[in-house]
This record gives sequence, structure tokens and C-alpha cells, in this order.
Amino acid sequence: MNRRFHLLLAATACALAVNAQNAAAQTVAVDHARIAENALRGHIQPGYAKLTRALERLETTTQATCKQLTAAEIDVLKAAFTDAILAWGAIAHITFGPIRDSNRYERIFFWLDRKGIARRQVRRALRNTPDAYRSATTLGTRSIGVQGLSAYEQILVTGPFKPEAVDFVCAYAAAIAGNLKAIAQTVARAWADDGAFAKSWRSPSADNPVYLKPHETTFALVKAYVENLERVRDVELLRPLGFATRRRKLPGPYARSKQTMPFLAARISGLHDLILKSGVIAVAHKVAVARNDPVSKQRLDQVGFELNFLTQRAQTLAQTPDFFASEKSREAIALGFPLKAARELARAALADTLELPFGFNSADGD
Amino acid sequence: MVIDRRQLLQLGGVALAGHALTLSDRARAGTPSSAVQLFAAARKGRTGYSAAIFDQTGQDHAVVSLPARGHDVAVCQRTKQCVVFARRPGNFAVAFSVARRSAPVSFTTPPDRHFYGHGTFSSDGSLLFATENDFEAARGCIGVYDVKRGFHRVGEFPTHGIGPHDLALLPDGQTLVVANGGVETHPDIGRGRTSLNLATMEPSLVYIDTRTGDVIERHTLPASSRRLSLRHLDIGQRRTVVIGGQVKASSGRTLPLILTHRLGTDLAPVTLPNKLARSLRGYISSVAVSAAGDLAALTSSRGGAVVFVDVASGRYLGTRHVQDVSGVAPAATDGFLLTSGTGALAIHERSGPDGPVATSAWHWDNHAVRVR
Repeated sequence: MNRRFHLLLAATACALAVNAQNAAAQTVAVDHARIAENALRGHIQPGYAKLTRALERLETTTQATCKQLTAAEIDVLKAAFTDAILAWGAIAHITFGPIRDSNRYERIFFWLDRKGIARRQVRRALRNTPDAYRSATTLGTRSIGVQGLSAYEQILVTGPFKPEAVDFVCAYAAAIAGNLKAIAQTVARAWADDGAFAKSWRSPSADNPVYLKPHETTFALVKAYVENLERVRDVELLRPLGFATRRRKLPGPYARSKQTMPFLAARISGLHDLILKSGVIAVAHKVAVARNDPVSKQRLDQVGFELNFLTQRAQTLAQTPDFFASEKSREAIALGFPLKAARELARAALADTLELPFGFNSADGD
Repeated sequence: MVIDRRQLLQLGGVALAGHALTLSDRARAGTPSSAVQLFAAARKGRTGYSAAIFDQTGQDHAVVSLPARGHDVAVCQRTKQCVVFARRPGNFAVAFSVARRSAPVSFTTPPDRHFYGHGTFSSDGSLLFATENDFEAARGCIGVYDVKRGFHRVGEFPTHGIGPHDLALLPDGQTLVVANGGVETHPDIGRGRTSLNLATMEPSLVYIDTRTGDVIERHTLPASSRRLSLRHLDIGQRRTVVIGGQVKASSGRTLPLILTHRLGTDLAPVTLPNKLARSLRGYISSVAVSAAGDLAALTSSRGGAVVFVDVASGRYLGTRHVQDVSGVAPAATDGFLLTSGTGALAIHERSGPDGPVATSAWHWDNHAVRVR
């Protein structure tokens, strides 16, 4: 009798627990428009505004400072250049939208240049001093390899130049900066409140040329986050660490100016900012709580933890000058696992909670 | 000793030879009944990757395990030999047979090449042609393998483009048509899937004489469509090639994702309704032409849709929606088998009601092919 009573009590308790869980499980409508607006106002517009300002400074600094290409002048130019690549790193993960038109992304960031095409083209330009490279407008119509931040970097690390070449080199550097500024301005205008792409972004519909359904903007953000975390880890970080397939150290982005680690830190911090400012994790968290979905909730908590760690650690490592040539470079190995975890956990939890179409084929087809 | 990825794959390939080719009772009993249609596809399960011969209900008739993700299966309709290829940038392939109980044979590309996931047999079944990446030179090539010599690689010829993907043999038995995707990749960079030449892409459709390796015709896209990577194709009636493309890194501009082509003519884009064209999200996953050769089905996993096109006129006929659909193969009834990453399989009937949708525990991969 006593045993039966206990069994009955246990069964009742189980049933009550299940009922309570079901009663508590609610559906939360995901406000994709809010996420899109948050990302636009809190991350994308400020990111491109910062990039535009940094490139404007690079242009004006180059025009004002570049006269004799003395060591002191080059130091000033390097500081402006570093600001520009950090501003680019913070927004480089927005790989959709107007940055993809007219090869704008590649005109800013032509990397990885595996065959050294751009390096050869810039070297040839410095030798032949073509007039077309003195103007931002005409430079913008030339090969992508001679237009980007890497071309500017090559000017900074090449030299010393013969006195008769300095005039061309400074004009070419200013043209690069001016052309990049114009590209950034065009992209920023398209994302501005009255810009053409911002209008598409804000109003998914059957007639929208880019986004047909509300969740597609959220999907674009999450996809950019996932793909760029993978690229940061598997390409930009593993190469200078010597963990790529070849098992030998290869240059990372902006290695010639010794800015690879600061650039990677900017990339990571930019991706973290995207997640925070868009509110995508916060919304997913609410859904997970409402659904009594402890697995997703735990994954999302872990993503937050990993991103905090990554941002702080990468910034610390970036303080070491020429990090990847230093003895401390092995410390960057510790970024590998959190980068992977921040990607995989976010992808799984966000796909589940926000019902994003990360299908086996649709997300990774061929 | 450091074992790199390629050595590891080669070791995996050797180990594969010892893997069991499992045949179901139905397959052991002999030729399947006429009601049973057989297909082949690569897939992912809870415990790993495999390729299978299966029927329209999803029942396995033969299974071979794979060391990594597979992509397409080439089937020799004469010998019933099948070869499943590694997904790029993998360098393994596994040959297995439906009709015999022989053990599967694994083979690899040379170390400086990798497969693109597609291949086709010569009309007599003696040779296998596979699209490959000569990644140090950034050029596409067709690897030629001697079937009777255990798939020994006997040569190669260029595809006259970068990133060749799907290919097919024209009914003349001599001409290969190859879709050069135009995208440069390198196995050491970003899992071998990072595009390295978006700014300079030049996709093309190339006809090659398999006897000489000579180019018969080469067709490129206009400058406005250079970001459309030509990927998959099939051949319909009157040697009409139906091609599906994938837009690489564009702001969402609608490019013509489906094209048709006949030797001696220009590439002809298929006009889709605007709303449908946008919903495909710039992505065609797979192409198949019906058994009669007059109807093409093109899947879009990103759009969750199958688009039907009249081969002769290039006219859009209709759409069916299936979540994460990708594999498509002609069915005996002149309809199509559809497979999905969700595990669903369905027969789409050309006329009359669609067959029932079967479910399975597999993530069916990119392609499905009919084993006649």
C-alpha cells in the first residue's frame, strides 16, 4: 500500500511537472524587423561611417604629410593607415549589400593574393609611374590589385624611393586613399536611412528585389557572422600560425605592415559588436526561455562567454608589436577553439530558436 | 612524421577497400521488380557519410561508407558500375557495383589535384572522366581513369577554364560538355571552398572532344553575368544542355540562373517569373532532365523549390516547393525523384498526383542519379 502510494505520488509529480512545463512553454514571435533595424542603426551605419572617416583621414593625411617620404612622414602615414585597416576590420564581415556591387569589397580588400598579382602590379606601377594612378577617379577604373589597402600598405613598406619618384608615390598613395574613401562613401550612402539598400533591408516583401521574407535579413546577419568567424579562424589566423594544411607559416592579412593581429582583433570585435547591437542573441535567448529549451539557452550563454573572451584576448595579443613574429605568437592558438565554438554554437542555437533556414544543402551546398 | 590531409585521405581510401559493401536481401535476390526504381546518392547519417543505391521509398539496396562528405555519383548504365566522388576539395572516389558483390574500390587524384565532385563514364564504360582542380596552376582539368585497371589514372586534359564542376557526355559518345564555374579555390585556403578570384571570375560552358582533348566550342557569359558560376547541367532532347548556376557574392541582383544551350548557338537564359527568380536566392543546386528528355527539373535548396522547364523551348512551366530540396533524378514514370537534406524523398509525377513523400534518417546530399 505504502509502495503503491509512493508510485502514485511520483507519477502525479511527473505529470504535474510535464503539465507545468507545457503551460510555461510559449511561442515568442521573433521581431525580425527589430533585429534588422538594430543591426542597421547600431552596427552597419556606424561601421561604414567610421570606415569613411578613417579613409577621409588617410586621404587628407597623405595629401598633407607625404612630401619627402622621410621616416617621420611614414610614421604618420602608418598611423593613419592602421586606423583605416582597423575600421575596415570592424565592418569587413558585412559581406552582403552594396559592398558586393562593382567589386567594391575586393577593391578595398584584395586578399588573399596567392599568386602575388597585386604585389607585382603595384611594383610595376611604382617603376613606371603611370599618370592614371595619380587621380582617385582614374585609379578606380584600373586593376583591383592596385586600388586597395594592400596597395597602400605596399607603398608604406617599399622604399626608400629615389627623390624623383617621391612625387608620384605620394600622388598614388593619395589616389588610393581617395578612391577607397569614395567607395566607402558610396556604400555608406546606400545603407543610409534614405539609401536604396537600406530601403530593401527595412521592407522585406514579395516585391523587394533582395529580401522577400522578414527572416531573410536576420539570416543574412547570422550567415555573415558564421562565415566570417570561420574565415577569421581557418584562413586569417591559421595561416600565420602555421596551422593551415601546409603546416608552415604563411603571411596573414596586412603582414607586411605587421598589423595582422590588430586587424584580426578588429575583425573579432566587429563580429562581437554585430551580435550585441543587432540583439539577435538576446531575442534568441528569449525564445529559448519561453520554449523551455535549456539546450539552446546554454549554447547562447556559451556564445556570449566565448565572444567576450575572444574580444578581450585578441585585443591583448594585438598590443604586442609584430605579434606573429614574436615569441608570444603561440598564444593565439588559444583563440582557435573559442572561435569555432562561437560559430558552431551560435549557428545551432540561432537556427533552432529563430527558425533560420540553415539546411544541410541550403547552408552548405556546392 | 607529419601526416597531412592528403595522406590522411589516401590512408582512409586504402582503409575503405576493406569496408563492407552491404546489400539488402532485395538486391541479393536479383533484379528488382519493375515497380522498384533505383537511385544513387551520397548522404550523411548520424554516424558518418555514405553513398547508397536506394529505391523511391528510401529503402537501401546497397551502401558504401565514405571517409568524408561525398557529392555526386556517376553511374555507368551499361555495367551498372557506380562511382561516388568526394565533395571538393576532397581527393577520394569510391567505385561500387549494384549488380555484383565485389568489394568497393577506392582511388584518389594525384596529390596536386582534387575532385570537384562530378564525373561521367565513357559510353562503353571503359573510362571515367572526372572534373578536377589543378590548384597550383589554378586551372580546371578532366582526369581520365581506366576502369578496368582499377581506376588507374591514365591522363588528363584541360577544361579551358577555372573551377570545372558538372559534366556530361553528349549522345555522340565523344563530346563532353563541361560547366566551368569560374571560381578559383585552393585546398589550403578556407577548407578549399573560399573564392579567390571573385573580381575576375569567368564562368564558361565548354565542349571538348574526348578523343583529342580539343575544344569544340567555348561559351562565356556577358560581363553583367560574370558572377554567375555555371555549376550543374544535364542533357535533354536534341542535345540541348540545361544549365543551373549559382550567383557568387552579389547584392541580390537577379541574374538568369537557368540557361539552355545547343552546339552552334549562344547561351539562352530561361526567363522565370520575377518573384520566383528572387525566391531562388541566386542558387540552383542540381539539374535533371526527364527520361523522355523533354522536361528539366532544377532544384534550389536555398529557395526550397523545384523549377520545371520545357527543354525544347526553354519555357518555364511550374514550381514545386520542398524544404532543403537538392537531389533530383529522372524517374521511370517520366517524373522525378526529389531528395532533401531533411531526409524527405518524393516522386514528382509529371501528370497526375505526386507520389507519397517518404521520410528517412539521412541528410540526402546535393545530387541524386537514376540507376536504370
